[in-house]
Amino acid sequence: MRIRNRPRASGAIPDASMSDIAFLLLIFFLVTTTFEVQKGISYKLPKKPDEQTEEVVIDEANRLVMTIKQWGAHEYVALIDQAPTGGPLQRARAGEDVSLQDSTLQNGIRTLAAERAEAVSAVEDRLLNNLEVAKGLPAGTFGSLETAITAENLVPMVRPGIIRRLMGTGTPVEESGIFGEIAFGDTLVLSDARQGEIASAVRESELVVILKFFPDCDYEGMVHALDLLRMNGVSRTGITIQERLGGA
Amino acid sequence: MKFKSRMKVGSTIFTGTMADIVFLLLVFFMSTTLFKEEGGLRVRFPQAHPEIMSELGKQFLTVNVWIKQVEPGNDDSELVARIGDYDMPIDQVPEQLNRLSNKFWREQNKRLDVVVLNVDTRVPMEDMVDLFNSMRFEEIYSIQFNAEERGQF
Repeated sequence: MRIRNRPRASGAIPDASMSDIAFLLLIFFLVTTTFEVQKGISYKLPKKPDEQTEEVVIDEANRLVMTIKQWGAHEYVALIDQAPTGGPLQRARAGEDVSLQDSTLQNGIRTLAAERAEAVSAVEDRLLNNLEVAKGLPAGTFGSLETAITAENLVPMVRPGIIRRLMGTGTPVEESGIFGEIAFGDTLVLSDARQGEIASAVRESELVVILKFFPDCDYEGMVHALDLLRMNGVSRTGITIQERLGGA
Repeated sequence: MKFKSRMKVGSTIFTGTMADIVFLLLVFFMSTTLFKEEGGLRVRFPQAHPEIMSELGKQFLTVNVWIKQVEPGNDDSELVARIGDYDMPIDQVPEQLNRLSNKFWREQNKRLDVVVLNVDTRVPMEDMVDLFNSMRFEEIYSIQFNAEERGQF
């Protein structure tokens, strides 16, 4: 009689794929791990007043003054104290409280800013200055932007800004001999093969908006107001407090 | 005559211990990695559109300042500020920033680039404008208001 061998159970766990699993886990975590990045609205305070500081007078045609007050939780309203004569905000909204979310207010600010977009040549001058700073060269090294582009073998380009998207075909644009069509809010960029983008300058608006806050208005109101202004192309802003009237 | 066979040299690399090494590395880094805890105050951030917000690269020398009311939402409540691990009244913030700026210059030959303000949404603007004015007198001009991203428009 033939005796069959019983199949023996092996006591080893197959671990050939263990390294694959470990590598897969490693790669998964390497790819998916994100570190939180702090983001915010950048702001430059004006220089402190001293003997060397010049007092800048803002032309009335470029000045919009708004008082911001709180109107319940997370609700803020603006009262337009002063708007450029003949502009959209003076005609439509002067003397009445409007929500910061109001579309007429936002469109009015955007139109005012667009009408006061700085000259393209001024942006190009600033770009040339930024390039010289980035390259560590003294001011006036290059006679013009064209000379710099040729000498340094640079590639000029325009990065369209948020205003172009918001305004669509209504965006006022100007022609530049080097960059082509430029709207306000667009960024002029110079890059080279070695360093990539080495200098940039944004076409800003000459409009200055003074924000006067009621003393008890929340900090959130300031961020809301700055958010509204930046979204509509205003980068020059003053922040102050509405004087308390009367009383102790 | 007897021929001796030449010794053969294997061309394979032994990878049997690879898994052990990788696991050891994993366990080592998992047990030794320390995440620096943000020593800030618990604040409610305001919201802003991501389009207009910028993030500060590592090339910038920044100082984080946290500000909130002791009793959030109560306009009469005192304000507390924190820089690093130290709490202080808000009126001492500009002076401390100036000291830090001088320290960076002395020790690292670098200027303080940006002061990052992490402020609770409920802090009254009256105190914030006072702070801005005092910062100007300490010659600290460049600031960033930290905010959370509002939903895409």
